[in-house]
Amino acid sequence: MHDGPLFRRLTLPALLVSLALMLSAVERLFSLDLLLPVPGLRLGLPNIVTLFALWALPAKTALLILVLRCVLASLFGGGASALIFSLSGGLLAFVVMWALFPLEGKRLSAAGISVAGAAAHNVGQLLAARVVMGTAAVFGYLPFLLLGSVLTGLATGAAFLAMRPALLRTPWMQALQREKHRP
Amino acid sequence: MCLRRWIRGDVLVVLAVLAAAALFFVLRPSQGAAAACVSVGDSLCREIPLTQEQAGLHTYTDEGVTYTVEVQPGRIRMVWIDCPDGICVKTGWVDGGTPIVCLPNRLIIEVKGGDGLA
Repeated sequence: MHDGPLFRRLTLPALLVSLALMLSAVERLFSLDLLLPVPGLRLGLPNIVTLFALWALPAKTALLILVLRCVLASLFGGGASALIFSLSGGLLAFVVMWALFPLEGKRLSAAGISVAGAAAHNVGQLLAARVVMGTAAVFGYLPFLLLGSVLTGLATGAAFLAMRPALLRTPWMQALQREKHRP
Repeated sequence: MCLRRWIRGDVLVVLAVLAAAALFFVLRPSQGAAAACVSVGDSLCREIPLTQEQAGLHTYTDEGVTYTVEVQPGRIRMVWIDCPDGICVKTGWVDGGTPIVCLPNRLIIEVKGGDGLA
C-alpha cells in the first residue's frame, strides 16, 4: 500500500513532478522586477520539492523528478531556450544540494542547503547565459542574484522545515523514512 | 515552526554566499567606454576613441563649429567652445549615461559603451 515500491517509485515521484510543475507555473506569476530587474529572478518554489525529494527518496529519484519537471515545464510554455536555463540552474543546484545533504541535521539544516542550492541555481543559469549571449557582461548580475538567493533559499528552506514535522506524523512518510534509512 | 534547527553551518553558508556576492560585485565586468560620438546638427558623428593613446586635448572643427575636448581613458569633457552659456563646459567629465550638450551650437557628445556608473 503506502509502503509498496510502486508508491515510492512511481506514484509519489509523479505527484512530486506535478507539484513542482505547478509551483514553477505559480511562481512565474510573481514578477520580482521591482526588487531586481534581472530576467529569470524567481522565488525558487520548486526547490521545496527538490529538498523534499532529496530528504525522502533516493537521490536518483530526486534527480529524475527534477529533470522531468524542467523538461515538462519547457514543453508547457517557455520553449527550448527556457529548458537550457532551467536545466543548467536546476542541475547545478541539485548537485550542490545532494552533496550537502548528508550533513543535514548535523552541521547544516535544510535552510542552509536551500541557500546553497539557490545560489548554485543562479550561478548555473548565469553560466548558461554566458554561453548563450556570448558575453561575460551577464556576470554583472551575479552579486544581486546571490543576495536574492540568500533570501529565497532561506524562504524555501523554511517552508520545507515547517512542513517536515507534519509530514513525519503520517504513516506513509514514516514508511518512506524506514525505507530510506534501511541499511 | 521549529526554527531551532538552525545550525552553525547555515550561518557559514549564508556568509559564504554573501562574501561571493561582494567579491563578484567588486570584480564586476565594467564595460569600458569605447568611444565618444560628437555630432553637430544633423551631421554624422565624429568618433573619438576614449583610449590612452587618444588621451589629451583635441581641437576639431565640425560644420563650422570649433571646439576643444579633453580625452582620458573612458571619459571626455568639453574644454572650450564658442558659446554664450558654457553649460557644456560646466558639464565636465562624462563617461556614459549623460551626454554633453551645447544647444546654441547644436552640438552633442554622447559616450557609447559606458556603463555610466561613476
